[in-house]
This record gives sequence, C-alpha cells and structure tokens, in this order.
Amino acid sequence: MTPDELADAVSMHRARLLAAFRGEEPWEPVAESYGVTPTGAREAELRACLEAVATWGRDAASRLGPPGVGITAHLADLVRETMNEIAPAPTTGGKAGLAMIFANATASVSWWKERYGKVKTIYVARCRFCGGKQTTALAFHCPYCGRFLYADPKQA
Amino acid sequence: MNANQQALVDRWQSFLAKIHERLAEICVEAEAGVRAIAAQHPEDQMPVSNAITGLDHRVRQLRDKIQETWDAQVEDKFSADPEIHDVGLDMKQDSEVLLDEKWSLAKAAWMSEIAREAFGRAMAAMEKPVPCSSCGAPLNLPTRIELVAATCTHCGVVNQAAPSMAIQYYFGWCVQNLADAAALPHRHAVERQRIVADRWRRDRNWAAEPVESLEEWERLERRYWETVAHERARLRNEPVDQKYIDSRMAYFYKYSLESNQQWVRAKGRHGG
Repeated sequence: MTPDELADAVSMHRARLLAAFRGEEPWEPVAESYGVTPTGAREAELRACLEAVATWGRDAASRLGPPGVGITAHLADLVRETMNEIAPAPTTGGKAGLAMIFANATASVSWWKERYGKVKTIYVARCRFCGGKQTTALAFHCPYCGRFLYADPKQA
Repeated sequence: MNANQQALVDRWQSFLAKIHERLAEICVEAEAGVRAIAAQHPEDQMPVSNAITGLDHRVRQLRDKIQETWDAQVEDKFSADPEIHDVGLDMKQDSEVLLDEKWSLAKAAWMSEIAREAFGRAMAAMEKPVPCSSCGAPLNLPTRIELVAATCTHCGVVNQAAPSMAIQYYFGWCVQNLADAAALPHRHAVERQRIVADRWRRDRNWAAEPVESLEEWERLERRYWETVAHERARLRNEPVDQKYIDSRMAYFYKYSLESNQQWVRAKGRHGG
C-alpha cells in the first residue's frame, strides 16, 4: 500500500462512517464493525470509530517508512474535522430570521469534503513511464528515461 | 419649517430610525452566527463567505424597504411641498448611506476578528517542518506562504510545496479581509465626497463640478487603493504592489473621471 492508497482508504472509512451516521445505512452494525459497541450516544460512538480509523491509519503509515506529511496531517485532523462537520449549524439568528442563512451556509461543506477530501500540499512529479522523480525545478523531462513527465491530452 | 413640515419630517425620520434598529438586531445575531461558523470551519472560508452572501441579501432587502416606502407612501407628501422635497430626499439618501456604512463596518469587524484568531493557527503551521514527500527529510523552503518548488538536499527530488490550509486561509483570505477593513473608512470618504459634490451641483442648478472637487475625488480614491495595497504588503511582509494600485486607478480614470468633460478639458486623458 502506498501513502496515497492509505489516504484514500482513510477517506473511504470516513465517508462510510458519515453516511451511516446520517442514516444512509443502519448505524449499529457499522459501529460494531469498527469495534465500537453501540450505547445510544451516537456522536460519542462516531468519535470512537474515527479514533479507531486514525489508530489503524497511523499503524499502517508507520509500516510504510518515513511518514508523508499528507497522510500525517490527514490522520491528525480526521477526528476533529469530522466531528466539526456533523456539529449542527449555529442556531442563532432565529429572532432576526437568519437561521436559514446559517443552515444554508454550511449545507454543502460536507458534500465538497467527501468528494475532494484533503488537499495535498506537497507533491513530487513522477515520470508516467518509469516512475522517476523530478530532480530539477522547471525541468519536465524525466531525468532517467528522458520522456516528458506529463501526458499530452491531444494524443490518445 | 412650519409645524406641518416638521411633523412630516419627524414621521419620515421615525421610519428611517426603525430600519436602522432592525439592522442593529440583524448585526447582533449575525455576528454570533458568523463567528460560530468560523470556529466550526477554521480552515475553510467557504461557509463564512456563504453566510455573508446570505446576510448581504437580507440587508439589501431591508435597505430596499426605504426606497419602496418612499415611492409608495412618502414621496407624494414631500413633493406636495417643494420647500422640503429635497429635505426628504436627502434624509433618505443619508439613511441609505449610513446603513451601508454600518453594515460594511460590522462585517469588517467580524472578518478582522476571525483573521486575528486565524493568525495564531497560521504561525503554528508555519513553525512545523515540511518533510520531503519522497524521503521525509525536512525541506528548506524560501517561503511558507506561496507555492514553491524546493529541491530536497537529502535525496535531490523536487517537491512542489504549497502552504498548508491554515496558512492559505490566513495569508490569502484573512489578509485580504484585513486590508479591506483598513481601507474601508477611505471608501466611505469617497462615497461621502460624491454626495457632497452632487448636492453642491443640485444647489447650483446642476452646474459642472469644479476641477478641484474632482481632484479631491481622485486623491481619496488613490488613498483607498494605496491603503489596501500597503496593508496587504505589511501583513504579508512583501513590497507594496504598485502595479495593483496603478491598475485600479487606471479603471477609475477610464470609467469615472474621464467621462467628465471638465476633467478631460483640464487634465487630458491618461490614455487607454
């Protein structure tokens, strides 16, 4: 498993937990599959499931060698950010008729996060043919096989 | 002003004051909501921007009530008495301008507070070492607030290193909000100067605006854009972007001053 595959796996676990938490599938069997016994306190159960995923992710990452910054940040924020996401929108604004504005403001946040997840902030360009890594800034031919690093969209 | 005129002015003033009271209520509740959303999404500007867009619409609806009420119930009464027609119109305009100013100042204060809270998170993120994505050795980055290509001194691979979300949030969105907030009084000064100039012309049967007044407009407009650019440069620890100021002023000359024949006769055109 590569760091990218691990990050994808963590995102998939997170998406599945969120979907079940929101009622898209029965919550109890999902929680049990992460080793969490349902107690009726759904938010605490979700947190425990996320912590189990984070622990599993950290173990898997440590077996991959030096930790990549992307997966480390992803795991560090997993529990906090997901719990923030399921927190209800601010209920203020009732008197001035603003409650709907605040509900709408946060309505699409989880939609974007689930599809695009964490933004990678460190990236190394690799040759699409031999996997060689870029070693000179602004030089986009592979230092090993000499071919251009990026595919030409005009060529099939 | 006779008793009837005074009574009409008082009734209009009382209506306008109610609109401002309503704005104050909106501001109190909006501040709590905006700050709660910012705390809930500390590295994502979209939810706060969404909320501000919705609130802007709500305040616009409130502002529209002034015009609607003027058209439907008030204008006829002021028009019937030419002595005070302009008084009613000026009260309306002053109230609308004050409403806009209060709303923009309230938003600027919230955005500035959110930015000040984000600063600490950005500094903490900047202190974290950034490891090479290939070998994990710490990268020596020339800046943490821009996307840079950095060659790892350990394994020789080129890393494209973008600022983390906390850094992007502060040095992108928050810094712009702080710069806008710092320059806001200058924008209000421009708007007030235009009202004074318009009323001066109205009192003189719509005489041409003197060049000195247009020069004052130019000076205020330049001060606004300079303040935005200087504040942004100060907060990002970068040189002032003079090209940004020049480009904003070029639009201003082209679409504002150079559509005024007095100005063109006195100053010519900047070109373009």
